[in-house]
Amino acid sequence: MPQPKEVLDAQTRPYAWHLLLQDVRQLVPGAQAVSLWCSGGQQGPLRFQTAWGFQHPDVFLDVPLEPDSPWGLALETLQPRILDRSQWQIFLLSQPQWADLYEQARGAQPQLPQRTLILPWPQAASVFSFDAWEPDAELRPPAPEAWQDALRPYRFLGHVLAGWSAFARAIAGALDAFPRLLTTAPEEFFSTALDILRTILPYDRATAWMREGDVLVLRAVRGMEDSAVAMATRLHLQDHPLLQTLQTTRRPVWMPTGRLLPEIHPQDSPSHSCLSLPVFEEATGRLMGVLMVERDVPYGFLGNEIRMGTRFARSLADFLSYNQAFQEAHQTRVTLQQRTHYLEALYRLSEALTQTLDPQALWRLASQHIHEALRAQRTQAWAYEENGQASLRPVVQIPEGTAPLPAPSATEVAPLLSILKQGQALAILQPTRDERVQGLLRAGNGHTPYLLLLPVGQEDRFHGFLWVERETAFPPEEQHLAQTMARQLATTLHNAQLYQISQSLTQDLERRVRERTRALEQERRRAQLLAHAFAELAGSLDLDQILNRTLETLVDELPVEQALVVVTRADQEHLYWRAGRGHKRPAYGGEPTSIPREDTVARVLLRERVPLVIPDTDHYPEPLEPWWTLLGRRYGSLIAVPLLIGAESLGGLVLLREAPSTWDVDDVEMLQTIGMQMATAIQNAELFEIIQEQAENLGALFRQQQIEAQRAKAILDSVADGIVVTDAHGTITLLNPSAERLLNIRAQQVLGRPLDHFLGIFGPAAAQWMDAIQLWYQDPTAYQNEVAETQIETEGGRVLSVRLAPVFLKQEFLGTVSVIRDITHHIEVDRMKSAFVANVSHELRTPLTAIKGYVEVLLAGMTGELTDRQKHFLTIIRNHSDRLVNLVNDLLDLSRLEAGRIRIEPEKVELESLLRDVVRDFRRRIQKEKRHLDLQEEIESPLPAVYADPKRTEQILANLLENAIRYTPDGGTITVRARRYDDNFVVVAVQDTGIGIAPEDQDKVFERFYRGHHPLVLASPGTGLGLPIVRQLVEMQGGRIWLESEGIPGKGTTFFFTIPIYTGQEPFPEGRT
Amino acid sequence: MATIVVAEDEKDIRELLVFILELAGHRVVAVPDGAQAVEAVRREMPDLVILDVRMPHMDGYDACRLLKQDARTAHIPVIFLSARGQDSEVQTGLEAGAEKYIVKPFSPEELLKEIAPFVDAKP
Repeated sequence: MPQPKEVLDAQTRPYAWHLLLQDVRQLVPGAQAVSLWCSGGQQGPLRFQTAWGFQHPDVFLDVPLEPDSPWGLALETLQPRILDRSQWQIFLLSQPQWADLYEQARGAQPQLPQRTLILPWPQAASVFSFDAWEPDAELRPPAPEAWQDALRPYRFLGHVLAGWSAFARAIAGALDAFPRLLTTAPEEFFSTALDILRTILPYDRATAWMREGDVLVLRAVRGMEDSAVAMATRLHLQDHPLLQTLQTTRRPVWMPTGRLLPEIHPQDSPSHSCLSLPVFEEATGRLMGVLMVERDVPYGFLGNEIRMGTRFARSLADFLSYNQAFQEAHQTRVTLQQRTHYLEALYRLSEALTQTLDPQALWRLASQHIHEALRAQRTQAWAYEENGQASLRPVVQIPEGTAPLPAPSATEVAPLLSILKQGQALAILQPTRDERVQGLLRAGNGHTPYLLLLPVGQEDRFHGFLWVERETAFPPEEQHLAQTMARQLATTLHNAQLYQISQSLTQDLERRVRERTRALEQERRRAQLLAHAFAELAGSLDLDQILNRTLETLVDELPVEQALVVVTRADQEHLYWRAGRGHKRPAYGGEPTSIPREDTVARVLLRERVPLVIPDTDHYPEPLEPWWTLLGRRYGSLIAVPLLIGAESLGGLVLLREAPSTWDVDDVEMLQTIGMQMATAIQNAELFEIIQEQAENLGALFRQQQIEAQRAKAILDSVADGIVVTDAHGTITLLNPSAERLLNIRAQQVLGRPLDHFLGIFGPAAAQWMDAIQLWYQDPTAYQNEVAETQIETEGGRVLSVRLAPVFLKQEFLGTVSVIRDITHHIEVDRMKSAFVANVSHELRTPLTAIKGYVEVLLAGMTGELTDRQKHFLTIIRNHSDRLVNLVNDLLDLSRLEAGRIRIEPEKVELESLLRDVVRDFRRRIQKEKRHLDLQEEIESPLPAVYADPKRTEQILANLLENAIRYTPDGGTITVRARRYDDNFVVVAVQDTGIGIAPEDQDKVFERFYRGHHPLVLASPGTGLGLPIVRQLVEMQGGRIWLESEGIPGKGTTFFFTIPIYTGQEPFPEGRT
Repeated sequence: MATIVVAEDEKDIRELLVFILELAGHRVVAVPDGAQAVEAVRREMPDLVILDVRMPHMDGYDACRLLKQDARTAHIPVIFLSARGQDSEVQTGLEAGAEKYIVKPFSPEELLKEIAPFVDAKP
C-alpha cells in the first residue's frame, strides 16, 4: 500500500481518507464510530464526508448539520464539545429526524449514542464526530498536541475539503465532455459515461448497466475487462435487492466495506468499498440504468464525491434520453421520406382504380402505377384464366409499343404459378439461374437483371401476375409496396366480378322481399297490439283505466265483440267482474257476479291455470249459462286466459265472438302474455293502494306529532321557569325564553354547544351543577332516579335554583333537563324569617332566664325553707320553663338548619369511640335522674371510620337517646347498635322498649311540631322539633333515617340512621336526595 | 371571698346574679352597661368579670376587648352570660378574649359551678 502521508494525488486520495479515519479514531479510545463533516470553507451547514463504524453511513448524505448545531458551534469556537444523553435530547427537540437517521445509519439499537465527542479540524473547515453507545462510555478529547500531530500529515486533504479546487476542475472537465454523449452511438454511450465518471470519481473498477424492460443489461466495464463478467449480462430488477433499493429510494448505495464481485452482487469485503449510483428519469422517477464503482480501500468514498457522482448520474439520465431521442429522430426522418413516397403511390393508384369497373382498364392502370412507383424498366401483366383449362394471357406491357413477351403455356410454368397463388411477391435475384422462372425467361429476350413477380389475387381468386424488371435489386420495402398495389388491383378486379353477379341476383332478391313483407305485416300487427296493451298496462296505476283501455285495444284490434276481465277476491265465493268492453261493461270499479269459483271456465282459469279455447259454444259439453246470464246474451266462440303472477292466478281475461270460429295459436300466446301483464298491473295497483293508504296514515300521524311537538314547545316557551335541555352528549338542545331571561343569555349563543362550556360563564358558582352533570354522563344509568339541586348566584346578585334531572326513555339515556327558578325572593324571605326567629328567641330567653333563675333560687332554699306544696308548685314552674327553653332552642336550630346557616363540616370520625362516649354520658344521666332504665350497647368491632361532622353526629344520637329515655317507662331497656350496612354506609340503631309509634303516625313523626296522641308523649317536655332536626342533620351528612315500630307499648321503637363510610375522598356532594 | 364585677342591663336578672353570688360569699359590684363595667373593673380590679353581650352604651364584646387590651386588666378572667347562643356569637365572644361563654337561661347551681375555677382559690 502506498504511503499517503507522503504522496497524495488523485489516485491515492481514497487511501488517505481511510488512513485518516484509522489514525483519528485511535486517539479517542472508546469511540465506536467516527464521522467527518465539512462546511466547505463557508459559514454554511456541515455536510457529511466519510465515516467508520456505521452500517449505512450513506443516509447522512442528504442531511446537513446547521451552523447553530453543536457540531457547527464546535467548528465556530474551535473547541471540543461533548454531547451527553440530555444534550442529545435537547438537540432532538429541534431536529427530531436525527433519531431515525442514526437508527438507519447504525442498523442497530439503541440508535442514539450514549455520548458524542466533537473535535474540530480547522484546516479542513471540518469536525470529527466520535460516538459511543456503551452506557459507561467516557470519550476524552486527546491532548491538543497529539491531535495536531495526528492531523498534520493530512493537511492536503484538509485543503481539498476546504477548497474544493480539485473537484471543481474535475467537474468542469466532465461537463465539457458531456455533449459528446449526445451523438455517441448508443452502444458506446455507457463506455463514454464511465470514462467521464473516472475524471471526477476515480475508481479501480466500474460497471454500467442499462435498463431494458424489467432487466438491467451490462453495457460497459472498466477495470475488470479480463474477469468473467460477460457483456450483456442481465440482472432481473425484481430479483435483485440492491436494484430494488436503488429503484425505490433513487439514492446512491454506499457500502463502506464492500465490493462488486464479478457476478455483480455486492458483498462485504474489509478491504474494498463500493458505490452504486442510480440513473433515473427525473420526470417519471423511472430507473434507466445503474453505475457501480469500486475502490480497493475501505471507506474509500467521500461525501462530496458521492454527491458529485449522484449529480453525474442524474445528468447522465438526461443525456441518455437525449441520446435516444437523437438517434430515434435521425432514423425516423429517413423512413418517413420513404413512407411518404409509398403512400403517395398507393393513394394515386386507389384513386385511379375507382374510375372504372372494366377489367382490362384496371389491369392497365395498375401496371402503369406499379411501373412508375418502382421506376421499373419493363412491366408485363399476365391474366390467368381457367375456363376448363388454365391459360395465361398477356394483358399489358410497358413501355407501350414494345412487343409483348410471348405467352408461355400454363402447364409449362405450373410450378411457378402454384408459388404465386400463395399471394406472396417473389423477388428473383439471379433470374437466369433460377429454375422457377425458366419457363417465362424462355419467352423473354434473355437479358433480365433483377426481377419481381407480383401475384394479383391468390388461391381460387387468382387473377394473374405482374412481371417487373429493373437494373437494381428490390429492397423489402419496395417489394412490400408493390405487393400492396397488386393486392389493390386484385380487390378491385374481384369487386368488378361481384358487381356483375350482384346485378343478376337483384331481381331474384326483389321477389323474395315481397313474400317476406307479407309475413312481417302479420307479425307487426301482433307486436303492435302487444305494445299497445303493454303501454296501457304500464302507463297508469288507476286499475279501471288500465284494464278498460287494454280491453278496448283488444276489441278494436281483434275480431271479437266482447272482452272482459274477471278476478277472484280472497273473501268471496264468486268471481268479480272487474272490467269489460264490447256489448256490455260493468260499473266503474267492477261488480259482483253470480259465477261461482267451481264454474267450468273459472276452474280452468283458477286451478288449472291454462288457456281455454271454445271454438263452438253450442257443442261444448260443459254448461256456460252463468256467462250468458252475466253478459245478457249468448256468444258462439270463447277464449279465456288466466291472469298469472308466478304460479298464482288472479282471475282471467275472456274474449267472445258472436259466430263460432277458430283461434290462431299465436293469438292465444299473445293473449297469455297480455294476461300476465294484466295480472302484474292488478297487483301493482293493489300494492299502490296499500302504499297510498299507509302513506296517508303516516302523514296524519306525522302531522299529529308535529302539532304535539309545537304544543310542547309552546308550553316550554311560556313556563316561567327556565328550562335547559341537553342531549346524551351534553350538547344544549333547548333553552326556553325564561332561561334566556334568567341567565341573561341568548339561546343562539349556546344552542349546539356543550353545556359545560356554557356553564363556564358562571364560573365556580355553577361548579356543583357541572360536577353533577359530568358524573351523570360517565354512567347515566347509575343516577336514573336522581335529581341534583344547586344554587347559582348571577352577576346581578340574583339567586337561581337549578334542579337537574336525567332524562330516560325506556332505559336509554337521552340527556338532562335543568329547571331554573329565580329564588332571590325566597332567599330574602328565608333570611328575614331566620332573623325574626333569632330575635324572637332571644327576646324569649331573657324573661325565661329571670323566671328560671328565681325559681331555682327559691327551690334551692336560698331564701329560706319552703313547704312541700310550695316546692311542688315551683317544680312545675321550673319544668315548664325548661320546656319553653328547649322549644326556643329547637326552633332556633331548625330555622337555621332550613336556612342553610348550619354547615356540616365532615371529617374522618372514629364512630365507635364517639358512640361509646355518648352512651357513657347518658348512663350517668339516667343514674343522676334516678331512672330505672337499662342502657345497652352492641357495637360491631372494628367499625369502619365514617365521614361525618362529629358534633352533629353526637347531636343526632343524643336526640334519639333523649326520645328513647323520655318515652320508655322505668324498667325498660334501651339499646344502641352499630354495624356496617353495606359497602358505603354504617347503620346506627337506637332501640327502646317504650310506648312505640302507631303505624299511622310513623310517617308524621319527622314533621315539625307533630307529637302524636299518647298521654306519655303529651306529658313529656318535648317540642316536636327534635326528629325534624335529626332528619335534616342525617341527610346533610349524606345518610338517611327511618324507624320500625309495631305501635304496641312495651315493644318499643327502633330508629335507624346511616352515615357514609370514610373512603379517603369526599363522597357525592350535598344536594343528592 | 372574691370580688366579681357583673354587667347586666336587665335589672331583674342583675339582682338575681347579685343575690346568687353574694349568697355564695362573694363581693359583687353590679353595673347596667359595658362602659360602666370597664370603669368598675379598673377601679375594683376584681377576680372575675361577668358580662352580658347585648347592653346599651357599650356591648359586652367591646367591653371585653377593652379590658383584654389594657395591660392592667388583661389578666382578669371574663365570662359572657348571654341569651344569644349561636355559634358565631359564641365565637365572637371567645375571640374578644373571654374565658367562657354561658348561654342563658342558667340555674344557680350551674352558674356557681362554671365560675368556681376562677374564684375558688380565693380565701
